[in-house]
Amino acid sequence: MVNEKDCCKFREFIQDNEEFLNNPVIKDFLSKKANYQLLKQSICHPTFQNKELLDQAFRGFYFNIRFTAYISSTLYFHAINLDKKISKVNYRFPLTLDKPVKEDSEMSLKDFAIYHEDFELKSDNILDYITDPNIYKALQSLTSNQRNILFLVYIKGWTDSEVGSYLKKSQQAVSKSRNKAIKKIRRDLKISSEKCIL
Amino acid sequence: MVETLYQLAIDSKHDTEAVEKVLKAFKPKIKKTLQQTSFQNRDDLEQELQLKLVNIIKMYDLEEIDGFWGFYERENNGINGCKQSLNRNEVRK
Repeated sequence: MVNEKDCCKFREFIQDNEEFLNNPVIKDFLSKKANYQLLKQSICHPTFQNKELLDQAFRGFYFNIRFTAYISSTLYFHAINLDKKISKVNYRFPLTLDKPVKEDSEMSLKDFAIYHEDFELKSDNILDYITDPNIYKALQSLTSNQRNILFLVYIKGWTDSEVGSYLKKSQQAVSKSRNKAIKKIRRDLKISSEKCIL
Repeated sequence: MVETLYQLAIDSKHDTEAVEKVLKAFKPKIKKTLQQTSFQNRDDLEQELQLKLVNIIKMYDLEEIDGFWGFYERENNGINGCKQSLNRNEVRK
């Protein structure tokens, strides 16, 4: 690379700066003939203009390396962070009922949840609401008036006063009948549970 | 590339077309980085990355880049600095 025609300043430079010239950045830069010439010129004819030309050429080259490296790293880590955020949300909220089933679909999972409206039991007989056989038996031994009161209070959720005005009785009479009925059921259930134990 | 990246970066400070060109130049890198996420999120991620890239271009400080001789000085200070500290250590021993 160094000829005899080159000025001695240049040859000196090459000799004194071996380490510097082995720097990969510099090596790459000088591998281009044009840049190598600029370096020669800047040393042999050290005018301000020649110095500036070399500096500018190097700036463009060096910027390219640093900018690209910076962007590569930043985008890579940014992508990883965004992916982590999405995973976190999906982990914490596995099911989103409002989400469309497929892209741009108007149906969401909400629409597939079936609601049975006609499941309500329409009966005014309290016996129809009982599943436990012991309670069923106990209720059968009550008067129909007591069963009616139990239905209105415990199935329909009325107060004793409301039941009273509906049945044309006083609130106290309703309470008395209700409590008597409950006590009877309790007695019957205690006996049947004793039977089981025995 | 017809224009150097350096020139594009300088122009990007005030010219949106230059920003577009830089985006185009880095498109392959962005595409590759999309592999970091699942298939469903790739479109969103692509947009986010492009946005990030535009921000970087706007914020990147172009003043601090060394010229050739600035780099030379920095390297030599580094080399000499190392040699000096080596000498110091040897003397202490």
